[in-house]
Order: sequence, then C-alpha cells, then structure tokens
Amino acid sequence: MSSSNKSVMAVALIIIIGIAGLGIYIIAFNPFAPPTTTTTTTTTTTTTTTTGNPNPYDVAIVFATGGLGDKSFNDAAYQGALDAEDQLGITFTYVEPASVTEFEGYIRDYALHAGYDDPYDLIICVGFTQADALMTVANETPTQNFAIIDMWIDPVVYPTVTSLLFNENEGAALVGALAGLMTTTNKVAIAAAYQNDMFDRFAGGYVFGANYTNPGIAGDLSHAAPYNCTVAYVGSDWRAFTDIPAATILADALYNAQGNDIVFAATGRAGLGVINTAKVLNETLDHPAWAIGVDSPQMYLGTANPSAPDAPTAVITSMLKRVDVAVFDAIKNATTTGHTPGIWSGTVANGGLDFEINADLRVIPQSILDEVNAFKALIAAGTVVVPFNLYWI
Amino acid sequence: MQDIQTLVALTGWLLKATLMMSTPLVLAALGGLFSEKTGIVNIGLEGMMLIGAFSAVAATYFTDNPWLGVLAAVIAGGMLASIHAIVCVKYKGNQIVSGAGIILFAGGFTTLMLEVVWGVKGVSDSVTRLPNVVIEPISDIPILGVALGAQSPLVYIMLILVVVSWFVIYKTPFGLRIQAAGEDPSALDAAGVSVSSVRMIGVVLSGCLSGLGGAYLAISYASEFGKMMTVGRGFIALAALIFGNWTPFGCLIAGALFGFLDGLQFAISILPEFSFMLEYVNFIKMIPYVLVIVALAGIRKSVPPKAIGTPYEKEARG
Repeated sequence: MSSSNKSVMAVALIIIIGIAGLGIYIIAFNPFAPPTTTTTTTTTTTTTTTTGNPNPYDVAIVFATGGLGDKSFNDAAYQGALDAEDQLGITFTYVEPASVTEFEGYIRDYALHAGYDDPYDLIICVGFTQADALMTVANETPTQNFAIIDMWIDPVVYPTVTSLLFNENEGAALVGALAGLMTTTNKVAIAAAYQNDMFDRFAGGYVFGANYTNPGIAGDLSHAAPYNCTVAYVGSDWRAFTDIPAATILADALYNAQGNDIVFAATGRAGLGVINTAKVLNETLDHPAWAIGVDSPQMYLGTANPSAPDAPTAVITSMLKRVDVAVFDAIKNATTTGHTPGIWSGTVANGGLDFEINADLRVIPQSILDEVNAFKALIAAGTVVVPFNLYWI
Repeated sequence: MQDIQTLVALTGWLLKATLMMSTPLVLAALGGLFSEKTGIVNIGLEGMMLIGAFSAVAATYFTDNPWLGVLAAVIAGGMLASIHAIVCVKYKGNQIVSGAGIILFAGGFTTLMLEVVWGVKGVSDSVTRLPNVVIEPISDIPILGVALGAQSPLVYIMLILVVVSWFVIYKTPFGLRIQAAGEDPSALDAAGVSVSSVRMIGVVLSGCLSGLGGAYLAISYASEFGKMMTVGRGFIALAALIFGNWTPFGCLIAGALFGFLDGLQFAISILPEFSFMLEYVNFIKMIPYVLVIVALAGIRKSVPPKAIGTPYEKEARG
C-alpha cells in the first residue's frame, strides 16, 4: 500500500471518528437542548420476541407522515390519546412512519401484536393516506379493531373499522365567514395541499363562508373560480404536506402578486410556510398579510416568537378540527363500551369542528365575532347547509 | 380578465418564482456536475441538500447569523460527500449503493438531530432568514424589478457560480484534470496526476454545492427545517444535470425550465383565466420528466463522461 493510500485512509478514519464522536457526544450530553422547553416524557417501545409477555398497551397509533411536532394533525391525535390516558387510565404506544410505503408494515406489526401475547384494543391510523394499508391488514386480521381518521371505509366490507370523519366544509365555512368580515382588500384565498375530495370540502366551505358574510367576494360567479376568493394548491400529492418551500412561494404569490390579505393555510405542516410569509410580508405590504391556521390552534405561530407568544399575531384564527375529540371518543368506545364500527362524524353541532379565538394574541371586534357565531349557530341548527364541493364549477 | 396590473404583477412574480424554484435545483445540479465530470455518479445529492438544509438552520439557530448557517451547510454537505468519495474512490464501492446510503443516512440523521436540538419531530423553530439583496436601480422596473430587484443573495450567487463553474471546468488546468478523470482516467494517470485526488475533490465540491442548495431551501425561502423538506429536489437536480447534458449552462437552463414549470402550476391555480387547466396540473408537473426521457431517447445525443460509474484501477489497461 503506497503512502498516499495510507494518508487517504487516515483522513477517512479521522472524518468517520470525528462524526461518530460528535454524534455520540451530542446524543449523550445534548448541549444544544433549548433552554425553555418543557420536558415531555415519551414512552418508548421496546419490542421483544419472548413469549409469555402480556401486552402493556391498550391502544396503538400509527401517525401520518408529518410526524409528531407538526403542530397540527398528528399533535392533535396525540393530545386525544394523552387525554384518554389521563381520564380513562389507558396506555398507548405509537409509531411515526417516514413515508407512505411504511404504513402497511407498521399496521400489520400492531395487528399481529408482534412480541406480545394479547392484541391491542384499538389501532388508530391517522390520516387518509393510510386507507389502503389499513384495508389490506384488516382483511388479514378480521378480529382486530381499527379506527382511521379522515377516511371513509365501508363498514359493511370492513366491519372492524371505525371511520372518524369531519365535515371540514362546516369548519372551513366558519373561518371563511371570519375572513370575509376581516378582509380589507376584499380578496381572500385558500392554499390547499392538493386537489381531492377532502380539500374540495375545505375550499367549498371556505368560499361559501366568505361569500355568506361578504357578498363582495363572490363577484362574478360565471368565472370558473370565484372572482375574489382564490383556491390554490401547494402540490399534487401527499408530499405537499411537508413542502414548506412550495407553500412559501405560493403564499408570496397570493399576498404579493395577487393582493389577497387573508390566506387559509389548509396544507398540514407546510402551512408554516404560509404563516411565516405572512409574518414577513406584514412589514412591507401596504395591506395586511394574515393567515388562518388549520386543524389545531395555530395563532401562536404567527407571533414574533412562537415559543413565547405575544400579540400581535399574523394568524387571525384557526379552523379547529378536533381530532383529539375524535381520538378520545374512539378510544373511550373501544376500551369501555365496546368498539363501534361505522362512521363518527365531527360537526359544528357536536363540537368536532370549531374556530380559534385567542384574545391574548389578537382581539377580533365583537361585532364580527357575533356575526360569525350567529352563522355558526345556523350551521349547527342545520338551517344553513354548507356545500361540500367546488359548487361554483 | 383581471386588471392589467394584476397580470403584470403575476408575470413578474412568475419570473421571480422561476428563479426561486430553480436556484436549489441549479446549485445541486452543478454539484452533481462536478462529481460526474470526474467520473463518480452521485445520486446522493438529495441527502447532501437535506443535511445542508439542516445544518444551515441549526447553525443559524445557535449563532443568529444566517451567513454562518450558509457556511455550515457548505461544510456539512462537503463532509457527507467526503464519505461518498471515500467509499467510491478509495474503496471502489458501488457508487449507486453508496449514494442511496447517503440519502438514507441524511434522512435519518436530520430527523434524529431535529429531536436532539429542538425536541420536536416535525419542524424546527424559526430562525433568522438571509436578508434579501435589494438592487435599487432595477427594483422599480415593472416586471424585471419584481423578478430581480429583491432576491436572496444565494440566487445571485447561484448565477455567478454557473459562470465560475463553466470557467473552472473549461478554462483552467484543474478543469482539464476534472474532465480527464471522467473521460479517460488512464491518460490523467499517465500524466502523473492522481486520479483519486481529482475525483475526491470533485465529489466533495458536489457536496458543498448541494449543501448550499439545501441552505437556500431552509434559510432563504423558508426559515425553518422540516423533516424531509427537500421532497425529491435532489433527484430533479439529477434530471436537470442529465437534461443539461453535463454542462454548467445546460444545468442552468434545465433548472430554470423545471423551476418555471413549478411556478407555472401555482400561476395556474391563481389566475381564474387559467383555472380550466387545473385538472392538468399533474400533467404539467410531469413535463420535466417527459422532456428528460425524450431528450435521452433521441432528439439530442446525451453525452455523459465516458468513464462515469467505473472505479479507476491503476493496473487496468484499456
């Protein structure tokens, strides 16, 4: 071996040892730990293959690809499980798949209760992207109970599956109504993740709500899309949920080039791109740049420092999809009264859908709140029926 | 018809979006260029972008200086690439396998570190962005001003790097060595230059440039790191490299085309006049890949470096 080869090898070794050492040091001592975080204790699962091992968990959760910390959908489901842990004394375990291809394996592992003797009372699949994987596994394990969030699975074909659904159109109509009243430019928009039935419900409800309180937004409905309420898409498949850069650039176009002052960020974690753009543009544009959050309370994300939120915020409200209520109810049914297959629908009437009010971060004029609440009461009573598709097409 | 003002604003925005969307692609494609010109296939661009994006956010988070974030991204990309270089050049490992390993490693490592640094699993805290460079004289011109008047410094750096790369590869002795390492390594060897070290440098440079592309994604047009936030841009950069026929300006044009099509699909969903095209958005997204296939299949002969993908054996006689 020549001397140059040796020196290359030495350099290689130094680099590898350096990286490994740095990694071990960071993991062991964690010198970067943020100073103000409250430590959350997460239960880690260790799968053993020994038999005679009772299952310590009642419920298993397979999260959507955004993972915990999305400050949105997965976090809400996690909150529901934590509530159940507190109030019902159940135990749960979970997994965070990195891509849609991993769902089936994880669901099957739980369904076969690998490593444990007895099955889980309930396996919760977060997000409609898990539907195919769930149906495959449900066929293989006919006695295992499942719940899936945001997807309808035929209870006749799959009698063990509960579909936890939301009438998103109703929730979107609430924030749309608020947007219609708050807008100063009479131009509002929704940044949806991509086009499918669910985001059609979001878009249809949002446009309907905005038109209801502000007929000026409706404009000329002979257009393929409403004149002053733009429906825009971040991407064309599930990757749109994580594509913060794409959401950022789309938001820039909506606020900057098109002159909207309110954008409803209905695109999962990538919605942060919209919110941050609103924060930045608020300082330079001659009209406000406000965002509307989705799924969980996100008004704090629009403040200058979200870890210590302080007024003002660029996020004027959030459409609350109470995934936590759905998860809690599903767990409660499965562990106490018995699993009820079929459909659980979150509506404005049953508290499954709502909009965020946080007067500490932004005071909405009482007259506007009154008007939105009156609209909400009409939806809850069934007097106003919110469309569930792009009704103007 | 919406008013002319909106149309002008949108045209300007479309140009701006083209530049913004293409910058990370062009940077990573230039990276791929340096690696592949020396004969090492680098499909790990995606991983190097990802680690660059993470390092940029982490360094900015701790120092509050986005330029240090950029520096950290370049170094981290280079370090990750050096692993690829060692495996492929020193140990003559399979370049595709090593590249795939780089991508998987970067995905896992950044997700882990996200939890270590910020205690979250999805999105990091927001950090200071690179401030935009405002060029006063042109920022008032209607369309051009929007497009070029106030952009991230990395956009201009990208344009400069394209020219610099062209100069380095075609006009300097070092560039000649890079080309020789990819075309005919035995000739380079015969001339008394170490093929290994030229290839090493090429691969490390590719990591640095990809890392820069990742930094652009993370602290220039976003201001936080999200798990897997590159969503396949490294692979699109590879496509741009191939479509651009392994030349710097080819990379720029291909990257700009892909960026334009990306921007166009947003414009389609914004302009009511275009909304009849909404159902074809997926089709438009497909165009870049179709173009690459068409280009490869025959319109124009695509010429990769001759010795690409083959480890250089000193003893081999050709």
